[in-house]
Amino acid sequence: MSAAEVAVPRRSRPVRAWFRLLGSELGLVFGRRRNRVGLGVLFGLVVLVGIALKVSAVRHPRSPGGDLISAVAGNGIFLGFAGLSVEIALFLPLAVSVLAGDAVAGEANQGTLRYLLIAPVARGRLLVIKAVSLAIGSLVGAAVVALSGLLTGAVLFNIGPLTTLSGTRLGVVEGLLRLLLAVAYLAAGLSALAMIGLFISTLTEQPIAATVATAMLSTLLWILDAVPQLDWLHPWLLVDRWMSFVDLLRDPVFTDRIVTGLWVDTAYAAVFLLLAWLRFRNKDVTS
Amino acid sequence: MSSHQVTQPKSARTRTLALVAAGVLAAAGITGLAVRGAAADPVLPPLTPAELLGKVAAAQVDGLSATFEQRSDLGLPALPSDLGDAGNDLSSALALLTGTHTVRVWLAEPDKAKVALVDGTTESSITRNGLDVWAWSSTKQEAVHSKIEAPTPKPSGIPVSPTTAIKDLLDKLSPTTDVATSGTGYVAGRAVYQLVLTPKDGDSLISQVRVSVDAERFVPLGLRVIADDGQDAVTVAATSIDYAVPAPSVFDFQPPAGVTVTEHKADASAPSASGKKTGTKPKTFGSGWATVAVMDMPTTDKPNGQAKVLLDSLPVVSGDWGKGRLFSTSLVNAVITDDGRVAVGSVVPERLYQALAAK
Repeated sequence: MSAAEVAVPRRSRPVRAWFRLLGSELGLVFGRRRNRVGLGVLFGLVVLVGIALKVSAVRHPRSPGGDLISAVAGNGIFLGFAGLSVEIALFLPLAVSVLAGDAVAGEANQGTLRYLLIAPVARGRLLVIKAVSLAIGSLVGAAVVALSGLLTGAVLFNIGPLTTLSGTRLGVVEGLLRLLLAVAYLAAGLSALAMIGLFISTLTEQPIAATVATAMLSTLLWILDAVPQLDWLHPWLLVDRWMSFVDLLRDPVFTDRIVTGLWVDTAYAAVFLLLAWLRFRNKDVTS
Repeated sequence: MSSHQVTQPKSARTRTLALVAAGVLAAAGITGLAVRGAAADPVLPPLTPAELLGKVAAAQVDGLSATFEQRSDLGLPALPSDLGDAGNDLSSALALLTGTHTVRVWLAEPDKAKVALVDGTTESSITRNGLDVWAWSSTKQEAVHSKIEAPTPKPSGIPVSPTTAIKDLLDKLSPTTDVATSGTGYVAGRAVYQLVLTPKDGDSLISQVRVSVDAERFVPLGLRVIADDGQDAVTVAATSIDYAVPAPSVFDFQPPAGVTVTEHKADASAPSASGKKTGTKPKTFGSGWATVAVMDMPTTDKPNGQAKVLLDSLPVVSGDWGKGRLFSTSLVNAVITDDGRVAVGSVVPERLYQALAAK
């Protein structure tokens, strides 16, 4: 930020200042080489899945089995959904953990946090900017996966009307709309995870520690969610309803689990954003 | 450091803490509400069991769409849902006996109904539209079509919905059962009466069946079967219900291109149990809750490897009726004899042995 920009009276241009700060934060996030490589990995994995499915579809035409993955052979749009279902358990949470770990601890670690705090920007606003940029990062991550599935599916398979899980047909536009909704739904869940990561990131000055802790937490949640003996706990787990995005592939769309899932995401995000704020507003910046 | 680092007055800090605490509580509350939806019991005008049953029988519902959640805890180990190959009838039947399942139901009078099991990333459904019945399985990518021959006013064999199933059950109870109304509650956000059925026969494994009935529309919304160990063995409860008539397109099943379509020609009574012929008709012993059915093992079914492993893991029982293996759950006991007979009943094993001896 130049001295001239700082000199602009804050009261008169609050919105612009907001967006300028968000813009510079997003520029930082997407400018980092490791984050770009990460997006490339998210993209490439779905391409790999697509190629593997193409090879097996050529070898065994019309193999039975109607789960998400094998439905891809019939329609390329499905590869977008299949890609999301493959990456939502590990790779997307990992990518979000990397961003969240960097958010505060990364800046503290590099010593850039104190410069940010010297700028005439309230700590609360700075944290909100970080949170918004993490939410955008989550959305971009999920969107890249879906887009990769769509492009790979278009190249390797045909794009056409889509057979839903309910055995009805959806037009291409409707199918793409459902994919878009799935991306938005998963982005909400990933954002909630990012808020947990943001909180952890305010606790430490080691970004790797925050990233590893967040990624391990998400993996732990998935494992707990898979243990049938703990089914009383499942509704309270953040990741429990993430896979419910496939309910968008039913006809009529089954919204019950998705709506509950969004409430759970909201609750997690609210709690951890508040905790992060409580911690960050009084955090001693020593480095 | 900037001016924001100035230490705040104590009151401001307390206020902040209170705010955060409120936020956490609110978020927890939202989650709790979204997950459970608990509330105090509603106050409803008292009804006798007969009055309640009468209102249930007279209930006129033009249509509804609802979601039911079914939970079974029969003391069986939770089975992995992909036991055996996908679409294995045995494993899918067993999977239904454990864990939690979500069922969507649509009804439109007089002759449209759809039930869909929407667990995980799969869906199987039965759709009835007039005389056409379609069974669909997303795992098998298969649609089975059958035709009902005559427009029967009350088609009994077609699994229509949990609602109808509960209603059918109520009709058969009175001679063998103590029926009472007990308390009220909420199911799917609607006030309900609780109807309590207690078997008179002490050898029954069921200690109580509780049915929740919508206090306004008199549609059964929930069912709890409590085993004699006091645990809920099976619960079925609506999680959402809407009494608006669903759009006709819901019942209009058109098999999509690329799936297997089978035309089912038999008596269209049970499309869900298609193809499997049991050897002979089961003989029954006893009556009411303590009925025991004895039948021959289906001979056309070769038990596959996993079924055999399951069977061999069961405890061996024997008596003057012969020798066999006891399959015991909190709600149902079954004896599979070595000479190929099966006795099943919701009774203590001794009753099964008696029935087998009475052959």
